[in-house]
Amino acid sequence: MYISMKQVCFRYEGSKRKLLDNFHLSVEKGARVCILGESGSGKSTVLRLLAGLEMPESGVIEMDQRVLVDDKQMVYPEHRGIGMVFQDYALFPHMTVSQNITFGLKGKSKAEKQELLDEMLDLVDLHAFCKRYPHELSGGQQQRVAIARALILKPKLLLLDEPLSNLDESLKEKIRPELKAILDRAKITTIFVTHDKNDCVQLADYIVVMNQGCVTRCGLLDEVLIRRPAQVEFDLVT
Amino acid sequence: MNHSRKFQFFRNGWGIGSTIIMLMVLFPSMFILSGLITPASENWTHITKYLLTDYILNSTILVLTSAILATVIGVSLAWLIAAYEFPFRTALKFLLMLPLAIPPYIAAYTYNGLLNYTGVIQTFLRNHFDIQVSQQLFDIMNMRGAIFIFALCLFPYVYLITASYLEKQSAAMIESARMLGKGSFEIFFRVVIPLARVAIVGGGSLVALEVLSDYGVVKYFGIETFSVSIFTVWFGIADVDAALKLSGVMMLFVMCILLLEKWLRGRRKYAPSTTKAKPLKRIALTGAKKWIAFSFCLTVFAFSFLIPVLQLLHWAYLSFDRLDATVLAGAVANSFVTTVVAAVPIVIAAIIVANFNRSRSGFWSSLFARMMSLAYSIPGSVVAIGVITLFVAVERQLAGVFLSGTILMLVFAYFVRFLAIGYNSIETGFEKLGKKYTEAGRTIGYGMTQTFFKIDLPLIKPAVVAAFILVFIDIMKELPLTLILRPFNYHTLATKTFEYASDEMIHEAAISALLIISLCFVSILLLNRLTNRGNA
Repeated sequence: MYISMKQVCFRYEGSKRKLLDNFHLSVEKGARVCILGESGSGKSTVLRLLAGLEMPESGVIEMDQRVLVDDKQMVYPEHRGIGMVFQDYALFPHMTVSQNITFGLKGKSKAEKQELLDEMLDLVDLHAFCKRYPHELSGGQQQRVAIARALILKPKLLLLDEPLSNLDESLKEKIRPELKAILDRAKITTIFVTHDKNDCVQLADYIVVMNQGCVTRCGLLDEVLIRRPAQVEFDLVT
Repeated sequence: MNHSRKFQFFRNGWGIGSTIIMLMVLFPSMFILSGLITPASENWTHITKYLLTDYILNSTILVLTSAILATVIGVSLAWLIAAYEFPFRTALKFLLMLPLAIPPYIAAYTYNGLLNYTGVIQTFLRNHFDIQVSQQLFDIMNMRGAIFIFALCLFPYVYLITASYLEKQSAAMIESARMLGKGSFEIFFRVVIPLARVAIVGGGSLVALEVLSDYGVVKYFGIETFSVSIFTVWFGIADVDAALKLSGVMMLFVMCILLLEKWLRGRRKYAPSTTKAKPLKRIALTGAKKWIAFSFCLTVFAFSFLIPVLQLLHWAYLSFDRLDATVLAGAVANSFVTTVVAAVPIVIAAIIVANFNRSRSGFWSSLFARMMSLAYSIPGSVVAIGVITLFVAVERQLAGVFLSGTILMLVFAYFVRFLAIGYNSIETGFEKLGKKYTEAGRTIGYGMTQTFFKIDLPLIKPAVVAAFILVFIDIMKELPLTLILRPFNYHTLATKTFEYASDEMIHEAAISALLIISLCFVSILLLNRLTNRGNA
């Protein structure tokens, strides 16, 4: 498997309850996986563990046959080659769109940086906004900048934490196909979390349903969500 | 999580740096507390038998009454400024911060000069109305006078914290009370006071700790408190062990104040339950009420700032011809150099600890924060004794190295005492920022240090500047610690003012006092501008 989380346990410092208890997850290369769950189900924590922003209490996380975390080692977030788009995008407010996108590029010439920037601006269709600051952009545009910023480093895995939750319903309807188109063009293994089943239907190939730190159901989108919507609903609320 | 995993996750230069900084802060206190368990000297037996009760009694009366009076003044001003609209409210809101620029010992010299037999008030009454007043009535060099001085100079601590809390966090509750038909007095006593209890107690305990730490006022007024006794034992009878023991007892006194503060706060936390706080809508006062509110604020401002400054200006004018410019320039240069040399490492260390603490929650971060608060609570004279003892111990280990009596020792003592001031400001900056930008920086390939310099530092710049200004003000005004630890014949503006005043050269003290006030005034102005920009 390209990504594997084995027997992962996690609890936040000071908390008695384990948020994840013996959690397992396997993802194939190139898959687009949606983790669906209600608030507090532990779905965002899975992303943070994969990104290296949290340390599991026990268990092993591997990517592309490389151990990211086990009892002996911990690869820091900056060395994992994993891109992440945060729920509120976390665009650096003191940098323009171009500066935000190229921020992670190191050891590249000016020309190389410009080339990569142009490629990303094409991908997310933001050429006209490259000199703007984040506060001068709409929610959807900010989201595209955050995706471009993550993708410019050619990560091995892209994580999206509730990528549409900051947008209102009408905007979500408009953005979903755009986001799908960007991810299609990027051709990258992607894991995203959401509590909105519509996001899963439109964006994912595979679905993982989580409830109280455990995977209750997983498989192809068709098999899990399309054919058995009532069971997924039951999993989410019980 | 097992220790190996914890270590892997948090091992970095920031963690090591923070631990070293905290040990530096902790060492002097450990030396002082260890002094409590050493065998008693003859002097210590004498002190415990005949003097200690007086020190405890005088310190308790002074600390409690000054804190209560400052709290009453501070809370009433905060309520007026936060909840009502009246003439010149905006100007007074700022002006009422200014007493922070006047160190209590300068106010003490000034008020004594104003009120004594040759002072401007008695002279005016004698010369113009042939009125001879009772000297007892005008004598402020006693416990009552000291309480008056402390309350006037230190009420801004309560005023600032409480006003900020009321303006930002209390709107919904106060407006609900108004809608339920409650009048101003009932809202004040039944809603505002309980609601702002944490802020009020926090401000009050700051006043208490400042009073306990003071040396200038109590020495000048001849009140035997802990601070004065430590100086007497240290400089008068040169009994290091007894000074250490007195410092240890004073530290226990500080802990009592902190426990009292904790008990008074109850289970309430100084944090809003919601982030969706809206500002309190002020009610416009009409008729006589608006002028009463204005007069009250103006009177407090006049007594706490305007009158002392005008008197100092008059004295400065009278003594200007006798001014020794070289001595004064030396004191200004020394004050600046010492303050800046101490403030820069304090701010850097505060950044290191705050950045490490926010990367992890739990036992260590909480311990670091508590240790720093405790170090700030310890009076300057006690910190000085702890630092001297530490440096002497280090000198014994490193033969041939002389650290005592150097600027380094003084700067280190400032570091221990004022690190918490810088830390609080920077921690607030980090809290406002959250962790999202740092995490974003790390997921796009930058380490903790690179992310800090490229992302966090530009975003918390106002908090860093505020930390520097706050530390600058505190060091500039600091007296007891500087008096004990300064190198031989090394004068700062604070020690020069104290020296002139102690030598009854009160007019000569005016210029250096005014310089301290002006520097602090400018710093407060900058801080106010910075805060307003941050709130905008």
